[in-house]
Amino acid sequence: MDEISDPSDWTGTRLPSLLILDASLRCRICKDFFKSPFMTECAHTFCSLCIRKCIASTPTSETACCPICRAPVLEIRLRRNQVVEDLVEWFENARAAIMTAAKAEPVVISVPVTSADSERVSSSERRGRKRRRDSVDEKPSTSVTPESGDSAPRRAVRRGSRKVSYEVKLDIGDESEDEAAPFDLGKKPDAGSSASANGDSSFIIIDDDGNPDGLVPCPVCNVVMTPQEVQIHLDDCFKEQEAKETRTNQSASSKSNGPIRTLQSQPLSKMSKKPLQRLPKLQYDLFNDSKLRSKLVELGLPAYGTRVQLQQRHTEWVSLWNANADSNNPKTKRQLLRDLNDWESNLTKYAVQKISADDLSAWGKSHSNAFDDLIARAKKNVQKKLDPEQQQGASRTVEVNVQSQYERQDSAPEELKKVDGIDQKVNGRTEERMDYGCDVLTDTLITQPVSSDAIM
Amino acid sequence: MDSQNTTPTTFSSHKMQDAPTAMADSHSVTKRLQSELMQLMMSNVPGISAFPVSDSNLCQWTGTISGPEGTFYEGLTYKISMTFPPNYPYHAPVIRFVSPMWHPNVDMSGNICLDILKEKWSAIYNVQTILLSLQSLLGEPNNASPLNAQAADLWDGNPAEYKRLMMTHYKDIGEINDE
Repeated sequence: MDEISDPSDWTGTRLPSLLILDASLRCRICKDFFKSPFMTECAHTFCSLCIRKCIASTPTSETACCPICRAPVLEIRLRRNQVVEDLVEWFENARAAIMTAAKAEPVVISVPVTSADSERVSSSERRGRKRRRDSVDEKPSTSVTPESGDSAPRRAVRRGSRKVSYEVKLDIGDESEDEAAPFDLGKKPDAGSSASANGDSSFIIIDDDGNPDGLVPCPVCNVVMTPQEVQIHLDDCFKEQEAKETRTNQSASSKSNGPIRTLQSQPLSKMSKKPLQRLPKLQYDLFNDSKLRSKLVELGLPAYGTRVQLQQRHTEWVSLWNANADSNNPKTKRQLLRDLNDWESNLTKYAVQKISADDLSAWGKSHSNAFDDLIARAKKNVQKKLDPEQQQGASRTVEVNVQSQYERQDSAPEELKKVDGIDQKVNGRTEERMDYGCDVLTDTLITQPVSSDAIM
Repeated sequence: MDSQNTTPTTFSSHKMQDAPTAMADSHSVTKRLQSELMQLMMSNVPGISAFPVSDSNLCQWTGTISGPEGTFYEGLTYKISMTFPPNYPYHAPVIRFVSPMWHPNVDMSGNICLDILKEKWSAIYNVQTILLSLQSLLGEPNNASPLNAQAADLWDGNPAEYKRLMMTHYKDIGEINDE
């Protein structure tokens, strides 16, 4: 299950608000990030293949409608959504790095302190962030002690001082480091192995590696400098790297004679010599069996099977082909044919596979261990994600939510006891507190919009 | 500031080495169902649950629905089966009540009459929305097109008799699992 990414991955990290960004960059049909996003006339965006298959699955083209708002949709009126495509590309590249950074301990820049001190500092730091997010009035940070008067506690004080006027000397370097962090982290994947080779999940420079002044390495070339310098230096560093790549790209394209894409900043793709043509849909009523067969042969497709199979195969092929033509990195026809074949064998496999209820329950019993394991793993993930939130003590807004959750669910635990095996395990194994915590985090963000769909 | 503005474009030019995996379609059903399972487990909505029957065949799920508060079905739990077609989500899954269900829009074999599972199906619906819709159907039946005419008549006409007849059909989920 690990390879499936989900917007809920962000809950419990230090950047839970990214859940919304993550969710809005996903196609509502396939639940994955947009691939060649296309926009309907009603301004809803889907993957090219998803919306094309959706339209193809309706009986007639007149009945095709937007999956979200049911407004009529015509395939020829679909338009590419380039901005979303770029956004997805950027976000997918940076996601892993942002995620690691968001899960890591807060960035602490400080001169040598005892380990006990640094622990206290980081927890107060985390609380500081949380408070700022929820804009809850707070007492000044309690962790300012004379013996830890270095830069890290100073930061904690600065956050606290938004509400209470404190005489604190603000330090510009500190500020800019703070602002720059997301961008630096975002650039990390491009830096290749250089930055990640450090094994650091973020740019934490703790005193013991000998950078007492809070120096940070450039994520591209790894040269150590002050945070302000990194900002300026990064531009040059990237330009240099880009120039290098363009040179290699140019030499590659001159070999293959590939057309140069006009889209600015779009890399040269491995397109075939001429741009791919879209395939027209067919009015199957106008074709008798033999004509349809010869049409399939013409397209290089298998021509066996019943008429229904022939039609389905052709429809699927048109969707696959046209979506592929929309892609920035089109597949070869051979790959597409393999996809078509996979799709068809999938269809027939499930048609043949009729499992009786007895088989299923026997199977379920004999594999119950595997399910227990799965559930345990899922719950462990939930726990892990929740830990940071719980440690720092729920802020007021969250507490209010918890309160209402308890009220709403007063009768729920009772009902759940009657639920069958699987559910009992799920609820029985974990503490109630944790389950509700999970609700608090995701309910407001995911469930609300989804459940309103149900009413629609 | 300058560096901030240039960031996204610098990225797009660096990508593409790992991009050709786009549109791996053959496992789209499985993938989508996996992500639905994840979403369902993470959101942990009270009163509904669903899980694949076996981990080799993700296209067959079993689920439970608790009757909503303030309805005849309050405090009762029903088991349902969900079968996902190979062209899911472009076609609706087949949903049936496994528990005996006495309800205006459910027939004696558990078949459900609900527009979003038939002609009003949309590819953006998912297990969670289906379960929530079914849950609300328990409290708000569509008595205009009943599968169970007796239930539809009694719903407004004789609530006490409705509750009595409904309870004669009810089977606890534990009994069903033992069968």
